[in-house]
Amino acid sequence: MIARNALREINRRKLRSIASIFGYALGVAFLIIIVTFAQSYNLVAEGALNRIGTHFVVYIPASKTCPCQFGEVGPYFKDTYTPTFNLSIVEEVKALQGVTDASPCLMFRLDDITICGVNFGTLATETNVVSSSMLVKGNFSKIYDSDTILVDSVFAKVTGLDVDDTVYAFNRNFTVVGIVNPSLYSRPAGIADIYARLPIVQEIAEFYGDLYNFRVEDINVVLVEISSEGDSSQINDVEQAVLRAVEFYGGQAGSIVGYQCSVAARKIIPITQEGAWIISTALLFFVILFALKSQFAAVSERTKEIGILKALGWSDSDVTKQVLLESLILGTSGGIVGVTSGYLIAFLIPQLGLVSNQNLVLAVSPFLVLLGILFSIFGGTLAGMVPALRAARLLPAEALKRF
Amino acid sequence: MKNKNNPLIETKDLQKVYFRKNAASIKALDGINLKVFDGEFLAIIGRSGSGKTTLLNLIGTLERPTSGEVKLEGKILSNLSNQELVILRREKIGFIFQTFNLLPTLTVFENVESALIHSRMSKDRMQSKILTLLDTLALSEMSNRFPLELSVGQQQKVAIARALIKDPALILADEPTGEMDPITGRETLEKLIELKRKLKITLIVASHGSSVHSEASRALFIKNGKIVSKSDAGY
Repeated sequence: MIARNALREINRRKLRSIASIFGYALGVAFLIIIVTFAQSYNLVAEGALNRIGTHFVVYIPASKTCPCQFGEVGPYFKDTYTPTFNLSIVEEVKALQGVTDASPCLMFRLDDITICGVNFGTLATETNVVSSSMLVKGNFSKIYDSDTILVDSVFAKVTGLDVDDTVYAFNRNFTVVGIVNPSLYSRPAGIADIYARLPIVQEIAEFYGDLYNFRVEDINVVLVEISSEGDSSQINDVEQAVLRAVEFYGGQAGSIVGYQCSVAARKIIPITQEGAWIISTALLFFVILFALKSQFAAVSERTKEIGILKALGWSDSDVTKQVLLESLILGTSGGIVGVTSGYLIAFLIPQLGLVSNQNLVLAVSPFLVLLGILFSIFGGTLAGMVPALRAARLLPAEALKRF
Repeated sequence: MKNKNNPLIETKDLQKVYFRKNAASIKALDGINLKVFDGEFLAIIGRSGSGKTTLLNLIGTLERPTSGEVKLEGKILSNLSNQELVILRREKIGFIFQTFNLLPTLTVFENVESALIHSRMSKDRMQSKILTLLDTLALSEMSNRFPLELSVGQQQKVAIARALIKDPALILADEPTGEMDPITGRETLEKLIELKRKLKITLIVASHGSSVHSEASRALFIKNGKIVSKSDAGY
C-alpha cells in the first residue's frame, strides 16, 4: 500500500519527478564520464611515462681512446670505449628485485660507424633501444632474417641508404630492411648508426676480437627496465643493485644512462584524478540539494493529504516510509539512468572520434558503476529524510486545515 | 468491555484554546461536558465557528485538549501516547469530512483500502469486504475510477465507505452534506443513517443546519464553544 501510494505520487508530479531523476542522472553520468576520462588519460599518460622514464642502461666506461693496438675499432658506448663482460650478467640483473626486464646489448664501433646488437622484441630493448613503433620506413619483422639491419634515419640520410639497399660494412654485406628513428623517442641506447641482431654484432666483434681481447658471448651494455611503480628512492635502490651486480661480474664500476622523469611526472597524475573527484562530488552535492528542495515542495503541496492519512490511522512511520520511498525511487531511477548514460557516452566518445588521443580507451570501472548507484540511493535517502520527518511530525488536525 | 450504562464517549470540562503569535488567543471550546452512548446518533448543531469541528477533532484524537478530558470506552485519551492514539484512530474511529478528503491519486477501491493499513485481514478477504461495501453504496461500478471522475454525492459515498470499512465503534461526520445540493444531501444522510442502524455504530454528526437533528436520536446545540439550548443557539 505504501509502495503503491509512493509510485502514484511520483506519477502525479511527472515533471518534478522527471526533473529529479534527470538531476540524479546528470550527476551520476557526469561522475562516471569525468572520472573515467581522468582514469583513462592517466593510463595513457602512465604508459607514455613508462616508456621514457623507468628504464636505463648500464655500461662500464673505460677510455676515450681506443684500447686496441691500431685503428678505431672495439666495443663503444657514449663516446667511450668499454670493456666487455659475459652476457650471463643479464640473467643476474633480471633476477634483481624491482627489475621487470633486462636484455643484452653490444655496441661496436669501426672507424666512424657504430653498430648496435640487441635481442629485438624484448621489453628492455624496446624501451632502451629500438622498437617497431620507431620504424620510419621498411619492414621491422625482416630484421630476424640473416644479415639484415635497421639503419638510423640520420645515418640513412647522410649515406643515402634506403630500404632494400645492400651495404658493405664490418667486413660483410648487409641488407637494409628498415629505417628507424630511436633518438626521437629518447632511447638511452638509441644512438647507433646501424641496428642488428646481437649474434651478428658478436660475430663482428669476435672477428676483430684479437685486437681488444673480446670473448664469445660478450656484451658491453645491459639494458634494464624496472617496475613502473615505486618512488624515486626505490628506483635508486634498484639502480644501485644493478650497478653492484655489474661491478661484481664486470670487475669494474659501471655507469648508468637513463631517465627518471616519470617519477616526478607521475605525481601530477593523482592531481588530475583528485580534481575529477572533487568536481563530481561538488556537482552531486548540488544534485542532492535540488532533490531535497523538490521533495520538500512535494511534501508541502500535499500536507492536507498527509493529514487525511493520519486521520485514517497511518502512523508517523508509515508517512515517513512513503515519502522516503518516493525519494529513494527517484534517486535509484536517476542512478540507473545516469550509469547507463555515462556508460553509453563513455563508449560513444571514442567511437565518434571525439578524442584526439588514439590510444585512449574509456573503460568504465565496475567500481564507478557501483558508486554511481550507491550515491543515488544515498542521495535519495538523504534528500527524502528531512521532508519525510517533517511530514511525519505534522499534527493531523493542523494538516487537515491546509488547502 | 461494553456496558450499556457506560458511555462510549465522555467529555469532562473540555477546553481548547488556540494560542496565536502576536494576536489574541481563541477559546474554541469552553467547558464541554457530554456523554454519548453506544449506538447513539448524536447531532451537534451550531453555526460556523461555534466549535463543532474542534469538538469532533478532540473526540477523534486528531488534536489534544488544552484542559479537561475525553474518554473513549473508558480510556482517558490525553493519557495515551501518540502511537496509541494512531491505533485508536485506525481501529475505532471513522471520519467523514465535509470536503470528502479523498486521495486524488488513488482509485475508489484504493481510497477505501487505505483505511485498512496494517489490517490483519487477508488480501482476498479485504478485497471482498471492500467490494461488498461499495456494492451496498451503489459504487461497485466506480471502484476503478478516480475521485475527480465522480459526482459530489458519489465522492461522499466513497468517504462513507472508507469510514465504515474498518468496522469502527464510532463515526465522526463533520458537515457530511455541506457540499451537496439539498436532495443529494438528504439521500446521502439517509444512506449513512441506514448503514449506521444496520451496523449498529455510534454516529456523531456536526452540522450547521437543523435538518440533521430531526433524524438524530439526540441533538446538542453549541455556541461560542459552549453547549446551549436550541433557542440560545439561534435555531
